[in-house]
Amino acid sequence: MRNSTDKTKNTILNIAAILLALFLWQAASLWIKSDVLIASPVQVIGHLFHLLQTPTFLTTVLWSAVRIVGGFFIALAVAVFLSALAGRFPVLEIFFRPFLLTVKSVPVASFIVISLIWLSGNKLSIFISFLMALPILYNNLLQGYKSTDKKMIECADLFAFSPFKRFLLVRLPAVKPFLFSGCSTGLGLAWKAGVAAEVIGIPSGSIGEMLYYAKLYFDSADLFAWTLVIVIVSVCIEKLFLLLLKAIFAGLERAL
Amino acid sequence: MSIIVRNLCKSFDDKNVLVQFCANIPLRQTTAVMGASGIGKTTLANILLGFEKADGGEIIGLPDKKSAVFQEDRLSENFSALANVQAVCKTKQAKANAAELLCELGLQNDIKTKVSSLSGGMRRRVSLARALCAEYDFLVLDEPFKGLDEATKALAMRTVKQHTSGKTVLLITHEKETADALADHIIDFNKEDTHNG
Repeated sequence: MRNSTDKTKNTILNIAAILLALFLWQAASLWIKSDVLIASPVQVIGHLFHLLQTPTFLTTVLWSAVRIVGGFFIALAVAVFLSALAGRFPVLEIFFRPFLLTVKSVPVASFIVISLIWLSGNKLSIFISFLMALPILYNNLLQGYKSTDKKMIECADLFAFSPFKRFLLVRLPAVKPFLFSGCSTGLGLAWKAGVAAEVIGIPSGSIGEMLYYAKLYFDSADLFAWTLVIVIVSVCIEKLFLLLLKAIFAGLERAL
Repeated sequence: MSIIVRNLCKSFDDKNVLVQFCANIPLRQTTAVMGASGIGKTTLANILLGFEKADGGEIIGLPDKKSAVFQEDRLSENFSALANVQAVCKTKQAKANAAELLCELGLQNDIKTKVSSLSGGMRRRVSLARALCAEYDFLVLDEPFKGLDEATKALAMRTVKQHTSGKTVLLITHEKETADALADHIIDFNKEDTHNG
C-alpha cells in the first residue's frame, strides 16, 4: 500500500519536474525572442511531428541506431572476453590497463579526428561507439568478476561444477548487477559519442548529418527536434536492451 | 582403514589454531568432532576439504571425491531449491533423487521456490540435500543442523543417518546429543591437546 502511494507520489513529482523544465524553456524562448538562438518547445514539438511524416525519418534513425548499437555490441563482446581473461589471469589486467586508461582519458573529439584519417564516415560512428563503451563495460565486468564470493568458488570446486554451471551459479550472480549498470552507462555514452562522430564524419542518411545541416542553416527547431529524437531513441533502446537482458537471465536461471 | 591426520599445524597470523594435531578418521564410519567455538574444528574441515593448506603435517588416505555442508549455506540465491541440489548431480538418477531427498527433508512444497525466498532452516536443509546428493567418498558436515527447530532437526538427523550409512563422514558439532546420535567415534577437541602436540 505504502509502496504504491510512494510510486504515485514519484510519478506526480516526475511529471511536475518535466512540466517545470518545459515552462522554463518556453519562458526563456519568449524572453530571448530569437528562433535561431533558442526554439520554443511548441516549435520543437511541431517540428518533430513534421519530421515523423518525412519518408526518410525512419531509415535515418534506424541507420544511425544500427551503427551505434552495433559498436556497443562489439564493445560488449570484447569487454566480456577481456574481463574474463583479466579476471582469470590478473597479470593481463596490468597489461590492459594503459590501453583502457588512454581510451578513457583522451577526449572523444581527438579520437574522432584521428579515426577520420583511417576510417570512412560510415564506419566512424561504429568505431567511436565501440571505443567509448569498451572501458566502461570492461571495468564493470571485471569488478563483477572480482566480486565473486570466494566461498561459492570453493563450493564449485568441491562439487566439480562444469564450466556452464560454474558460470550460471557462481559467476553470473556476482557479475549481473555490474553488467546492468555497465550496459546502462555504456549505451548512453555510445549514443553521445556515436552521434558526435556522425556530426564530424557526416555519413549520408544519418542523424549526425541531420544535426550538421541544422547547424549549417541555423535551424534551431530542427536541431532541437533531432536532439529530442536521439534522447527518446537512446532511452527506448536502453530500456529494451535491459529488459531483454533480464529475460535472458531469467531464462538461464530456469534452465537448470 | 582410516584417514590418518598426523602432526597437523595451522596458524593464522600469530594465532596457533592446530599444533601437531593427530587423529584417525575411520573409513565407512561417522566421526564427530566436538569442541568449543574457535578451537579449530572448521579449520580442520577446511584443510581436509582442500580449502586451506596446512603449515605442516600430513594427511594420509584422504579420498578424492568429497562433499560438504558448510557452516554457511553457500547456495545460489536466484535459483530454486531443486536447481541448487541438482547442480551437483552427475546422473539422471541422481537428479531424480534430488527431488525425493528434498521431500524427505520436508521441503516438498518448496522444491521450485527460489532460495532467496526460503527461511534459514529451509536453506539449511537444501544445503544438506545438496551435500547428500553429490557423489562422494568423504562427507564433511559442519554444524549441519544449525538453525533447525527440534522436530525438523530430528527429521534431518534421521535423513542423514539413513543416507550416510556405510560412508565416511566427519560431523562437526558442539552438541553432545547430536554427536551421540549420529557418530561411531568422537574426537573431542576440548580433551585433545590440539595446541601443544
